[in-house]
Amino acid sequence: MSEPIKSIPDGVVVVLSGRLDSKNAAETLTMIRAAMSPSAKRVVFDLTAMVFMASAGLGVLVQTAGLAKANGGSAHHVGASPAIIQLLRIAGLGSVITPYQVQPESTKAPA
Amino acid sequence: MNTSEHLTTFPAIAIFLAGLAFFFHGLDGVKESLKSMAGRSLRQRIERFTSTGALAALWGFILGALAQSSTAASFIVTGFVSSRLLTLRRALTMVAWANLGTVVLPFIASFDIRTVIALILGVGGLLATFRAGREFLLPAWRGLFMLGLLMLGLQFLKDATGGIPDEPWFRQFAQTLGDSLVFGFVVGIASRLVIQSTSAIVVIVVTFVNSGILTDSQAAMMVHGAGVGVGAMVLLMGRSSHGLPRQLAYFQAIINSAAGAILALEVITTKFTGLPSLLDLIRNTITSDSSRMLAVVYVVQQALCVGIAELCGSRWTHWLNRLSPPTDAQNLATPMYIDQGAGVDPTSFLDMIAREQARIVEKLPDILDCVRSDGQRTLAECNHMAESCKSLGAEVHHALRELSQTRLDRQDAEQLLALDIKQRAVDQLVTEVAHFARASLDERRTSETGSDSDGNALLFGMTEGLHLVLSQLVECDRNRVPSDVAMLLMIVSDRGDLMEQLRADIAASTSRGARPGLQYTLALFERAMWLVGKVAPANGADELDDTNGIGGSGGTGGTDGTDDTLSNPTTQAPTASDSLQHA
Repeated sequence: MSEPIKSIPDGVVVVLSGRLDSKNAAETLTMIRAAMSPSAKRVVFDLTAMVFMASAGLGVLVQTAGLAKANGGSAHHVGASPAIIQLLRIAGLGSVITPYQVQPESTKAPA
Repeated sequence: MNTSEHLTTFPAIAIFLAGLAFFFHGLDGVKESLKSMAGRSLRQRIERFTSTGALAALWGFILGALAQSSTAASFIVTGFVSSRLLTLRRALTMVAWANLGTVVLPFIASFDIRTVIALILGVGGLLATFRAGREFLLPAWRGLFMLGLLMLGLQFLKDATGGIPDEPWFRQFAQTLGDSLVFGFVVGIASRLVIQSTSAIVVIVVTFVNSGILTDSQAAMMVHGAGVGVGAMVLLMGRSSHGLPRQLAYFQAIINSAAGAILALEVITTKFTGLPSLLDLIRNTITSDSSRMLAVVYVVQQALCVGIAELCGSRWTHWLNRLSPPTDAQNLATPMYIDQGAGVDPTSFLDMIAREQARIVEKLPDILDCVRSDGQRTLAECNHMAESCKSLGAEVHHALRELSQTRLDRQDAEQLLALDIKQRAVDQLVTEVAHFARASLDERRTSETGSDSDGNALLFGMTEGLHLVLSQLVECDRNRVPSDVAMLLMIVSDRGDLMEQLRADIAASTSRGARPGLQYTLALFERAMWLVGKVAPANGADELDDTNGIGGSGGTGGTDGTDDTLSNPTTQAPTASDSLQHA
């Protein structure tokens, strides 16, 4: 993954790709936590290249969303395949991580 | 049941098969019945009965004498250990002394075990059928009947194979091998594998000696070989067991094989060195009658089993733990905290109960392991885990009931009520998750057969989703961070619309239209999700209200005692006043 985490004005865009399961979930969560500002209010998961997510992967999303929500913010996803969207929905994350309407690139902070 | 005299080959095979079936079915039944009865009070009573090594030895001796089979005694004790009614250390003593107990009755009385079996089957079966006595006695009657079935199975095995030594081909075979000691030993092992009683083998050996087919030394070697055969048989019949039951099988195999091998070595050594043998010693000091000599040899062998067991004492536990470590499920089923609760103040005891409860919650995600893509456990292992959760849950209920009969202050009484309500929800969650795992596995097979990718995706989503919330529940139960609890409640709450839509999706799909199993799995999933909200700690609900305004429909953990009742009317959580009546 190149540049997996990008800053946006009030939060981060987290680009996740490939498989996210028990093998790499802890490492991914540590990386996200290290890159996220403690006051980040918005987190956007870019799931365009995500092909498989197990419960540990869903856990990464939930924990990260929890950080944003603890600051009174919100969590969103973008680019997810129908299968991933259905997984999020069945898992009950439909109201926790909502679809993001604008492409993440447009929200990217100026360099 | 006396079928041994004129059995031709086909009936013998049929009776042998029936014997195996009775034995294994009886063994399962005894274990199940003991599990149903295995509360703290019964365990404490059995602990009192076996509180010292001497008492455990006495009970083992009596058990061996009554069962007349070291194999049967081993498996009965295994049932007690599996149900945690007996500690491994005491069980080892009982098994060792049960071996010695088997020597008593065949030599002091004409005792017909068939009468005892018929009595056990009759009394146990009738009492169970007519549900005699109070409700809690029903598992005891069933257990008694199953014990009779187990013993009947062993008797059938004996009957089916008892005629082999009388067969002309066997006698001819024995004569052609002359006075070979090794032959006697090998035939002893083989005989014990098919004839489920060493004492019966001793009787057969005596007839061989009297008719000149075997020498005294060969006969002794056959008895020693039978000792090794006991070990092989116990290992063979207990091969599907794991952990503690397997440890007992290893123990029985080791002490019997070692005793048989040591005495066989003694026979061979003394023959070739000309030193006085055990047989010479018995002949010169006790009796010169062949049958009595062999009876004494048998007693010496069984006493040596006990000697080997006692010689190594507490080291057995260490060795056996290395040979066959207790499984996760067995460890879970053993209370870690509440058994140490005697004499502590109610507040501390409640804390111990809460810790025990947390151990059950921690294992909830593991019950789904068999159906997950990266799970390590089989369905049987997951079922064992669920059974262990229920077993520990029963301990928690028992401890709560015990505590409710003492004088509690208001705070402790409220805590007790909260733990009771939570435990009821945990029990139901364990059941639902276990049912979900089984149903999901069945449905996945159906989906794979029919190449139903939509069905598979739905099953995958439900499994991973449920595993996610169970894992989050463990985190919340452990750390009780309000924001995490609020997040969990948000995930599990207000799922009605989603479930309706999924149900409609399944019904509308032509490929899954006739799949009531998938609907059933979805229903189990929905209920499990709802129960997670009931089990979740209470401190997230307020935060959920503050942040989203959608809280309250999930769970409150019920600490206020006004939790809405669970949907199953037979297992409804009690009201505060009901539970506090005890307090």
